[in-house]
Amino acid sequence: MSLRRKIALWYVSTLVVLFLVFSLSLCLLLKKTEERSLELELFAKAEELEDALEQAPADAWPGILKDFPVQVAQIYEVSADEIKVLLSKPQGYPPLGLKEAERWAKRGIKGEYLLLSESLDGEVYDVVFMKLSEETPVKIVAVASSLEGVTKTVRHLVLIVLMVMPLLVVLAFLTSNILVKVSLTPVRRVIETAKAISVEDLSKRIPEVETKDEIGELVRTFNSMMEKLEESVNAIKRFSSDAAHELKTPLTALKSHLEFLLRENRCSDCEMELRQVLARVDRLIHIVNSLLVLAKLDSMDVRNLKNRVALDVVVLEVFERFQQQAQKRAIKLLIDRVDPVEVIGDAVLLSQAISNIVDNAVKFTPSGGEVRISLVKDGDKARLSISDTGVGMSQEELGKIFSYLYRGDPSRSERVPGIGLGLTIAKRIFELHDASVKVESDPGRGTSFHITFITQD
Amino acid sequence: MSGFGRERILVVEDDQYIADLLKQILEKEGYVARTASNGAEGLFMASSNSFDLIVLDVMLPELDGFSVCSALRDKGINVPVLMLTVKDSVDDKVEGLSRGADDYLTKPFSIEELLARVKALLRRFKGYKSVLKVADLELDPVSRRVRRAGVEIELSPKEFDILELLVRSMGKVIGERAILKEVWGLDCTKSNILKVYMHHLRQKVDRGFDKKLIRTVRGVGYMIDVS
Ligand SMILES: Nc1ncnc2c1ncn2[C@@H]1O[C@H](COP(=O)(O)OP(=O)(O)O)[C@@H](O)[C@H]1O
Ligand SMILES: [Mg+2]
Repeated sequence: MSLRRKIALWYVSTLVVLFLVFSLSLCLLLKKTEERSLELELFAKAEELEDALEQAPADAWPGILKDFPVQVAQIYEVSADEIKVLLSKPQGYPPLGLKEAERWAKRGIKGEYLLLSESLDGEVYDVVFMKLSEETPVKIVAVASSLEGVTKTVRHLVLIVLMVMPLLVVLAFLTSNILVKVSLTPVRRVIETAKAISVEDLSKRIPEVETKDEIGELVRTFNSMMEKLEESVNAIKRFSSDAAHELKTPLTALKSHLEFLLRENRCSDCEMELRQVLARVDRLIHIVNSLLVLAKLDSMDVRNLKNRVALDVVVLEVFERFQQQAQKRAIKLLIDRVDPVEVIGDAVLLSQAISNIVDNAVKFTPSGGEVRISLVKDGDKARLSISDTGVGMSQEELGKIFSYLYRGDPSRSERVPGIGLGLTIAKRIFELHDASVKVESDPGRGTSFHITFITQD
Repeated sequence: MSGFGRERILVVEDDQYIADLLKQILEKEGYVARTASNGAEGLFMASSNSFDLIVLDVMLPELDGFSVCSALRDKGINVPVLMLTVKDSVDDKVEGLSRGADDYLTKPFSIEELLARVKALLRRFKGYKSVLKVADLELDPVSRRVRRAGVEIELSPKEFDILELLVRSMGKVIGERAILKEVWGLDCTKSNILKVYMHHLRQKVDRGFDKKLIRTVRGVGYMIDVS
């Protein structure tokens, strides 16, 4: 679930719970006050009726009772052993709370009230009793009013709450969506900027927001972090480009000088030693170049590989470059077929990768052997094959050749120059170009590398 | 020995050790060599003296190699330039080429390679400099670029050599052995290398055109057909 959804959900459910609590309290409060006011009204009525009855003769009572504006009114007579209804409005209405009235009549004094809630025929009544006279038989007047009105009001309120509820949910959802969207926009921007950042381009920053809230702080923190990152990456980049220069300049001097001495035959008695030193220097150069290429590949952005490259020409150039080396080792370097093929990428890197494979083929093939190169176009694919009749590799060895610094048979490694980075580099370069590499090998018979490119037409 | 008749080479390189070494190497090889230790000095020397070739380092104090190169071209000095660079990325190559360099060598190089490039560049610029034309095919021996009907064709160095050889003797059949000897320096070979190259060259040069320029004369060799 996205953060936006989560926040919206929390918002809506909190709102609903708050609304429910509020409505419930409102209903209860309403019920209480309504009941209270009903009771007060009943008390007033009872008092009024009592006054009216006291001032009139007993034979006028039925008339008074009949005209009195109250739902139920009754007069009881309580003697020593019984209680009976003298008068009732409406006529024949069942007596209200006789038992309690009787008990109370015996204890109570004039001017006191008794309030009861009675249930009659499923309807709840509030009843107020009041003594008419102290002389025996004691007469009690009861006034009652149904609570139905209160219940009805409360029920209405509940109904309204229930009806408003779905509307509220929908509204809350809509507003929360808008609110969350608005307040999360800066976060979106953080995400988008973070996505656009790569080692190649660390210069992107999120536009600062003015707010002092957490998002503003997030943006500022992110930007200052990017600032530091960019500085340190630039320092590293500067270092590796400086290192390239610093390392390659003395190596150039060393190599050229040694070659010059050998060429001029300056010291015939130490020629052997000079050749050995030169071999070491060449190895050092090879190591430096490989490490620098690897460092470059690590910080390479695939998006920068967008040149059209005539792969066939790259292959022919590599083929031409290795001619001499092959001849020196008495190996036939052959080219079977080259179809014109265009790919997208970097010609120098591709040339490097293909050279590394051809270099191995020439190195690991004994004199008299053959190395064949072909580039065949097939639809939107192009297959580059480099096959040798060399020492080959076991199935087990095949699984390891692309790993960092791996070199085969140590006894052979002594004689064959290399540092075990050639295939690591080649594979990375092919991967950058979306090319797949397949190797077939037969120990003692030879090896074939097949690289499949996606062509550009 | 006087410098008369010998080719003059300017080496622009800030590393004194390498500059002196290159000077020695080139002089042993029979060239007259001068050195400059920064871009400004190099540019000044190249503009005030006539050199047959400039070996130009890319990373130089004050004025870098690319700038020196474009300044030279702006002044109309068309001496061949061999760039020395420590970086081997395409960007460098593209930048240099567009600034008018003629060839590249990445440091560290072997002096054999250096001397071969120097020799090839000097030969390229001394020889027939004019652009060769056959029908709608143009071939520039100096920049080593080929166009057909105005569209540039990318060729490998050997392919260019073969095409140049054929175009220079257009209308005449050149035997397979002659091509192998001229282009590869091989006396005899059983390999099919030339067939592959001719096939490829034909695909690059003639494909999609009604007029086929490269013709195979069975059992004899190849020729540029101008009929
Ligand atoms: N064509 C081949 N024939 C036989 N073995 C090979 C071939 N190519 C690679 N290998 C094996 O894979 C190993 C790793 O190759 P690579 O990464 O190029 O390192 P290096 O060439 O420096 O030894 C080699 O040492 C060798 O054992
Ligand atoms: Mg290798």
